[in-house]
Amino acid sequence: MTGLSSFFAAYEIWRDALVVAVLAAALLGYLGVWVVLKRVTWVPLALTQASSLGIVGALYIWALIGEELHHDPASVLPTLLDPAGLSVVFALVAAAFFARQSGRGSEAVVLTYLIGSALVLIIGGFVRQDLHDLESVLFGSAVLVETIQIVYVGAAGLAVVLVHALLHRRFLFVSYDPDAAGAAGLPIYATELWLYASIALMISTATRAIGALPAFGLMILPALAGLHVAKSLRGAFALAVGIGALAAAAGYYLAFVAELPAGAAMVGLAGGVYGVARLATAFGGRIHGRRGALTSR
Amino acid sequence: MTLGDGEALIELDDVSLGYRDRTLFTGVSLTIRRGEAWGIVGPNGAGKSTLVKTMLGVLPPQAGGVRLVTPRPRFGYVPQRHAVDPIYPLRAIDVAAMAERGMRPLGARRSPNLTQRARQELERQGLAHLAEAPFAALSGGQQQRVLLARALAVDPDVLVLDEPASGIDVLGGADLRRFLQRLRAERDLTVLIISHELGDLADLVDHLCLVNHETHAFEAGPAAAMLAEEKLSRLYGRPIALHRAAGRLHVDVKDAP
Repeated sequence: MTGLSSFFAAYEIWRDALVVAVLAAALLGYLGVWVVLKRVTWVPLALTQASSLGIVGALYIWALIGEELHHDPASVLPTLLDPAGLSVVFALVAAAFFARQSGRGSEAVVLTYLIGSALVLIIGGFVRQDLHDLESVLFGSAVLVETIQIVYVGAAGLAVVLVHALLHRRFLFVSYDPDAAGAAGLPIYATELWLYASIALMISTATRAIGALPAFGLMILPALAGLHVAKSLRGAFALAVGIGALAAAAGYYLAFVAELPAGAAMVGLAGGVYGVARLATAFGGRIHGRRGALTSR
Repeated sequence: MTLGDGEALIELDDVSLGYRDRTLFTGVSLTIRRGEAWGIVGPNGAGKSTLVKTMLGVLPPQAGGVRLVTPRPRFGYVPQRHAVDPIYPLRAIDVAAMAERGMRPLGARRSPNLTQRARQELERQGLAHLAEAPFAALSGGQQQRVLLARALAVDPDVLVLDEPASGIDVLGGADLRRFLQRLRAERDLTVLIISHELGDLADLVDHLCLVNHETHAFEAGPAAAMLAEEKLSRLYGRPIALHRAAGRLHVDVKDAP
């Protein structure tokens, strides 16, 4: 049996994981263009940690009082303390903070990342769960994906598409020239908040579904590659979405046939495409007057 | 301070302004009227941009009130050219139409004429042939004119220019000055210009604000009264001599005594 035929023969094993990975990668690639354009590449990492803190916090509280809650059908706490829900809430709170700091918030972002990481480890130590299980809950797995994750990632993706379909032009104006946008009467903070919230929702959902490394890598690398070679903003978005989806699908296949870690294979492929894009721009000169723009500030 | 008799578009009433807990000016009162042209002058870091952002409502005042006429005037803002990031893969027409597009009501239908005004303004700037060119590949002067076209595409009541001559050559500066003079003659446009070029300002504006937060200096009035050697020397902390030659104002900064 060839690699390809054995891959397709195992269709039922990888179907859900591949659907989730490709869907998440396409959406992350699109949002990554905004992240790179706004020069806030640390923000997704910090949002991931804030989201993880929400999960660990919920698990810790469940470990303390969960048994009692299960026996109290009138309590709303079980809903409020759902780990997935709380992870999104924490990410959204961090996003609201970063949106307020827009343009000058690198210190706040790095602090959130560092303090979030430390608290996840400390609180995680008190959670009565096997370390491997906890990592799986926190950072997902690109290989073993529950079918429900398709619903979570799909719902988050739909929300992102709706918000961006409505506010895309405002996001561009506010990101490109906030002073001019403010002078024109656009609400800068509210607009930034919607943009950061959409990034927070997607990165926290994708982290749980496919893992932290692929979620971050597929947000940044396809966007960088797309921006290096695209002639237009629309082209950059299309390329980032395409590269992300392709890297996720091909990475999953490569991981299956070569028995590699799936997340690393996806990120490695996206990194390879980014490298080719850099070479193309270095030798082909196709950056249209923006030579060095991606690294000059 | 209230000057002129046009409609008051922007009124600052006993305003304190600055960022967060850092106050730059206190007790600022000023009225900008329709059709007036104001220059904002001061050393680097004097608080000129902060003053203008407060006037436009972008930065809330720390105390006092900023009143804009109702309905809110349309502001066309031309930033310093290097304030926009070259990382964005945008064409000149994308930049010129950005304000017009960004300010459209949410959910408004797509219109084939959406970029029509922006294209007209690019044409007025002599840049119609570069509409599809990458903005980042244009010269400094051309980029400045695209940003000016963007500001004018929204048919502003108030045109705000932040250091419009910075980074453009002598010819570009002269063209820009002539364009602004022509524009003011054609439209009942209010203009605010932040600039270091006192000679250019003297040709363009009828009122001046002299600001320097380090010396708590804030003076506003008719340009003829503000362009005085004594006031400017006090503002910059160095002796300044003014003289006119060939109809233009020239500024001579002398050594500190």
